[in-house]
Amino acid sequence: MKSTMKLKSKTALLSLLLATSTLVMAATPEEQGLAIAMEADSRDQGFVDSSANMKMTLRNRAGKESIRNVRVKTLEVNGDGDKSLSIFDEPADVKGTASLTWSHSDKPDEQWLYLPALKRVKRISSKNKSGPFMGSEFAFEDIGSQEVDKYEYKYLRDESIDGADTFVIERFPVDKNSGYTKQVVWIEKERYIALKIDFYDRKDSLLKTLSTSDFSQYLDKHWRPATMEMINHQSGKSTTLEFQDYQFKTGLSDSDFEKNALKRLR
Amino acid sequence: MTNSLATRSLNHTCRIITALSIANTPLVVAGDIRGSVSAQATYFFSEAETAAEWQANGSLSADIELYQQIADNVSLTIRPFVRIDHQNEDRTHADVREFIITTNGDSWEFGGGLGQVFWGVTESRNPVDVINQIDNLESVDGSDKLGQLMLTFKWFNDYGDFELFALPHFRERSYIGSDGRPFPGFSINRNATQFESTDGNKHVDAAIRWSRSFDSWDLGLHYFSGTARDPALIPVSATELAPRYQQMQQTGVDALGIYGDLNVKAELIHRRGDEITDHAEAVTGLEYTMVGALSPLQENELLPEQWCTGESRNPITGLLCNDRLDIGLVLEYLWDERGEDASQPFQNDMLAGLRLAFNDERSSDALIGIIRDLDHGSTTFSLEASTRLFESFRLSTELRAFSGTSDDPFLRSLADEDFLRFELSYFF
Repeated sequence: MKSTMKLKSKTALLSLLLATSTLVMAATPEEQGLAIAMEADSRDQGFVDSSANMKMTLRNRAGKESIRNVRVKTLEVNGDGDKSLSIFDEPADVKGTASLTWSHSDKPDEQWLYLPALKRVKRISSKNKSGPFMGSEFAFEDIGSQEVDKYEYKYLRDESIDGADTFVIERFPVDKNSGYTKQVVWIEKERYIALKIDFYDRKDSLLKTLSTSDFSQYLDKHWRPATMEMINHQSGKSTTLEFQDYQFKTGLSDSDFEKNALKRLR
Repeated sequence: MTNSLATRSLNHTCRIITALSIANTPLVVAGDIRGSVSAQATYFFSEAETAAEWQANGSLSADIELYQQIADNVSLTIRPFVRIDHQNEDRTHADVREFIITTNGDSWEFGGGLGQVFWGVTESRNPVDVINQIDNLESVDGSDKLGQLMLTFKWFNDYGDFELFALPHFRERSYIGSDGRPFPGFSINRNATQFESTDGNKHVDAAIRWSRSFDSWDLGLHYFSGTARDPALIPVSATELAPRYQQMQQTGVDALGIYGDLNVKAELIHRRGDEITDHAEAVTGLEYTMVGALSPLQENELLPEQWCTGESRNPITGLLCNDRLDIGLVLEYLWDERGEDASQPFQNDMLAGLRLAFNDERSSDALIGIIRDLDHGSTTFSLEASTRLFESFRLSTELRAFSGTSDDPFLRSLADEDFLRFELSYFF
């Protein structure tokens, strides 16, 4: 209830900001940053559910690669964070392992792991935001559901990168367990999609850069990148995500995102 | 390189097979095969005082799961297991871990056949886990279990998950004989096996379970009525014991609470029967995880910079410089109300453990545990660690050592059974 109220007041603020450009000029950088984040969020609402195949390529400093294949499914939840499922197909020793996350905007996320060899569904702590996802350069918080409420914002400037006009905003994680002090996000003005994110570590020095590319539009509305590349400037390692077979409104329901459904996954 | 090529051609073959089966049988929707083949080497540090005149052993095993969807929401899972052991004749064995048909709707699931069920939350022992018989030949910690014939119905609603089990056939526990290792110290004569029930292994056991997730807690309740999976051991001669499978009624609760990096765990059961003294058993404890436990060393510049920046292969500096290492501290207390008269070894014991997750590209992990019996002073040490090799292989190691066991009736004979084991598994 509280979160709905908050959302409504933010929407009101947003329409006000977008109504007249003079007001945009007058707004504080914090209000401008929030308005941009909310516009990006609202433009992607209504996807209902989505699924895709994700190929992860981990590269160490010497260029040695290792591959993971994960199927990801997401269910949009109105008024709260989304629910998501990850099913691991490769490497073979984790084949059949699956994780289920219920993200929340006002309380800690709930998370379960299914271990197929033991037929065991294990509740796990969701506090570990900063830990690496499957040994990659993506932290759990980088691949989780990106809710507006999870950050505070500040508009910095307009900038053109690779021929695209972007808003550059800073966002500050609200969660104390985040591995970052801040992120700088380049959001393309035309489609409101993040083209690049710089991540700053707890010492406030540049840790990683995420670049997204090869966007396609689905259902005439939702833009999704086919490629995401994360470079760790401190370790020299990098991870590339390649997405295939994006599907929307496939008929997934709440019962597919229950912990008792984990044992039936294939 | 060769490996990835092989995988690719295998994938290609699978695709052809799938395409063919779709063409021939209209009902076939999807099938899948997965599993592992493993080679194991074990070394016992001492000579046995029994007939086993060997210290080194080798063994091969296969664990394969075949899955076939036979209609919409109907699937068949078949999972055979086989082990061939060089020295331990008893350990050469096969089992059908699963052979089960499952069908489901949005709020229910029905299953029939040989299945595997796990209940529990704690690390050291799971007193609430009563459905399957353990495969005593596979591991000393009871984590491998025999397939159990069952009919199950599960109903999921807003009040939680309700599960009903009918278990029409009972499977006896197997034991390592005196020419095998680690030898438990007593010879079991399975030809003299007794059952309390006149139905013997045909007694139909039944169980019901309710479980539900709350904001910070996962809760489970169960009731089981039927044949206890762990037998009483009755002397039948001066040197031999016979298993006697008693009837029991067990009520139990398992709870896991998550408060940030702290997990609170508890399993509590009450067990009674005509031949079993009314009693309670419990395992309860905490697990605290320090995420990126060593990262402050680098953040506060406490390590010489060249340790962490270069391509150093030194395992010590490599460990200290791993700012992704998660360290979990595990502490559990194990209790049995019957004390000295308990039918199992953990009547008043403590577990202290350390769980390491390296979060590297090889998904390396380790678990070190010490269980101390507070009445008898015996100590069991275990180390389990594993890492991925060449994308599809996993190398694991297990070390178990027993000390101060002379006053412990259950562990006494394990004094000379310390062992180190390596296993290389290929997964597909």
